[in-house]
Amino acid sequence: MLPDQNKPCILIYLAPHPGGEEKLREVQAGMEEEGIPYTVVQSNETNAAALSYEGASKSKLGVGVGIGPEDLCIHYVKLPAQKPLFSLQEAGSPVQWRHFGYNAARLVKGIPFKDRPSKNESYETNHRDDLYQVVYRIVQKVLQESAQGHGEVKAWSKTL
Amino acid sequence: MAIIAGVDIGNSTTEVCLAAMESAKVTKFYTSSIVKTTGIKGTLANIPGIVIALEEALKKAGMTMADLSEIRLNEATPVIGDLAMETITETIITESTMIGHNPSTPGGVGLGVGQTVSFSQLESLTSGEKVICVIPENIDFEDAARVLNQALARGIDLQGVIVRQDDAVLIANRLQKIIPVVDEVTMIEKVPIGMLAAVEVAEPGQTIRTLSNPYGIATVFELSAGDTKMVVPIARALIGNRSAVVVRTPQGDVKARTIPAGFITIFGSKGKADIDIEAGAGKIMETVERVQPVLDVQGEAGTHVSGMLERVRQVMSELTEQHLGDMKIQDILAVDTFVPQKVQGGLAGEFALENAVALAAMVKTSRLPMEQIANQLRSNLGVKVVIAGVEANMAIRGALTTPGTDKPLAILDMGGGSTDAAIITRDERVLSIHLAGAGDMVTMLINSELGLNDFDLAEDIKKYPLAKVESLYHIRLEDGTVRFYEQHLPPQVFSRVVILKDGEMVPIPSSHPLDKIRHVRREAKKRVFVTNAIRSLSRVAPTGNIRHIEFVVLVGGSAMDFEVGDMVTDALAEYSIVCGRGNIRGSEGSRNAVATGLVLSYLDREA
Repeated sequence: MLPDQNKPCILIYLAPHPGGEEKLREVQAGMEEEGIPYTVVQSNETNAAALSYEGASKSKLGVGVGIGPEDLCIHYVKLPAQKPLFSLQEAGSPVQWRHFGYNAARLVKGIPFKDRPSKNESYETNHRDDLYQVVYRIVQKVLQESAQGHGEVKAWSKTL
Repeated sequence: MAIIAGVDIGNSTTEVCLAAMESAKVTKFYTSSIVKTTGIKGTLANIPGIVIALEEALKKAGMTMADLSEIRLNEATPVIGDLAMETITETIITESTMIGHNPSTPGGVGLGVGQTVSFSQLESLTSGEKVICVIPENIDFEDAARVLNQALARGIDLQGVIVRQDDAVLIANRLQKIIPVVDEVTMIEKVPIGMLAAVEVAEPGQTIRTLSNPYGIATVFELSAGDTKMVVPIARALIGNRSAVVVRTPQGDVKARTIPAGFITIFGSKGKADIDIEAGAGKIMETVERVQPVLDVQGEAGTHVSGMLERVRQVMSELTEQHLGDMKIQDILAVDTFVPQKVQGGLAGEFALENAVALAAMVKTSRLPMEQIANQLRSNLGVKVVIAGVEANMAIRGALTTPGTDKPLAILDMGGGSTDAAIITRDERVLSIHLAGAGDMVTMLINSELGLNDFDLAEDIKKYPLAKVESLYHIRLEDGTVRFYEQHLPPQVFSRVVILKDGEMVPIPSSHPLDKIRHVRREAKKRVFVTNAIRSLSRVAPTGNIRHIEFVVLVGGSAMDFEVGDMVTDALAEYSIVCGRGNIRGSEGSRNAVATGLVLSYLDREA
């Protein structure tokens, strides 16, 4: 089961669950993009913190990623077992999973981490102007409605 | 017994010294305090700051405002400095001609040249065409790689790939042919389709060779000699990158505009002189020294430098509520610098380093309304307020409380807005000078040269030493020593250069290495403080020769800096001058000289 554990690589511990393969794919892609090798190990444990810590302690690089049904963690061997470095306490999105791959690899490479995107955000930086336009339109709409007399405080939730 | 408070209103800080006096001597120095000056020095807006500083000092001494017998204000020197910076070259690339982007992980390796095609067009192409594929957002790397491989199999000569997402290595690993792949191109929709383009990726650890070479670009696009001259700014902007894309559009045009920076005319008491800004800071300063003392400085009408000097005058006239025509520039300090400017027309927010000149200018205003401040303070607090004396005299008086000093003595007061020097001879004559350029200018230089766009961060970089976070448990300080931590450090600082500010770590959000930031910081300090130290001391030296000054005491906020004092001491040692940081009253360091001098001047009045 564990033929590759002796070569230096990040160990990804996966608790098999529906949707687990999708998470695994993005995490692997993140590491591949950064150019750091990894090995995937299946496990019966379901807690991501425990999974990742086991990965970190067995990895020659000291870095482990745990993929559980409900959460996702990056662990470093020198940290206390119950305190993973990064932890995602929700299912998350593909962009977030990819970032866990990037950051696990970056921990090995010793370069600054990529900022973690929030759940629904994809690559937003270039859309700042669009965002401004959207906000502008919403504000205009709210202002118009309140001018017409039927906008109370709840106008916000209506327009959104 | 009288309780006296000396209050020194400076450009950036207001300082208080509190002491008890009996007949003809100081019985006890109680406390001192220092707060940020509110408003512009010498205006009524200073009062809140003065009150806070007084209250702070009184509280520390366990007293109240009612215990005060007298407040002594300095007669603030009516000079105010301002800063300006103007680029003298500018690169404008119209019609989106290049991506000098440097993603952390480009894929593949080599140089590819071909027509740009969009990802969706790829399937309809015939074989034999040389193409560069542009892949927009939301295309999965496996789909992208599959379609690209199919195209290769059909005989399409795929030369390179430009990708929106961070997928370059993933795609390159899955292609059957090794071609350059550049990713994280944020404005991918602006890459023109159907145009000739070149993509280059270097081996890891290497930099691109062809696209950073004007003749390389000329070879790729078959340019004429005239056109080659035009692409120099592109090549220059791409030097040092590991990957790059250059697209040639028919209208594509690059201009390296040299803005006519213009010349300035310096009117001095020894005549006037014109000097071209492009001659550089060194030549400008030579000219200033030749005609000094300066009476006014004017810029050639319609040029950038004229606009820059006008702005200084305008700001000063608004602040002091004096007529614009009365604003005469009394000194300038020019420093060569460079500014990372966003390339107009770049596709991923590229920057090019543009040459610039930073100028600190000093305007002499008519007497600042200190009377108004004194009156207002008197009615607000119900305490006697006296305007005690000229700043330079007070500063010398305070500096002389440094152990081991005696007359004749020169002081160098390095503050936020100006560098002042004063000298007291054996027969008590005082000569002083105010020059433009001090701490604020250093901050401006750091801010622009590192492209921070954040003045507070630049101020922190100026004030505190740096460290590099090397692992989750240790940092390496500037001098190479390592410090370990029991608890792991926050992930935000991992592998970053941080400022060690009062026990916390402030990460610097840029990719500059520690050495670069340190170099910029130290150079900025040298160019401003060392230059001004020599300039100002030469002017107050009785013989005009700086070597005839024996002892110099450094005072003022910037003398407290962790390295400026040493830099100046080191530079002045060449002229065999004994120079060191003051230690006012043997306890205050280089701060509080003027405030202490104000308290001491109370004795003259008694005598």
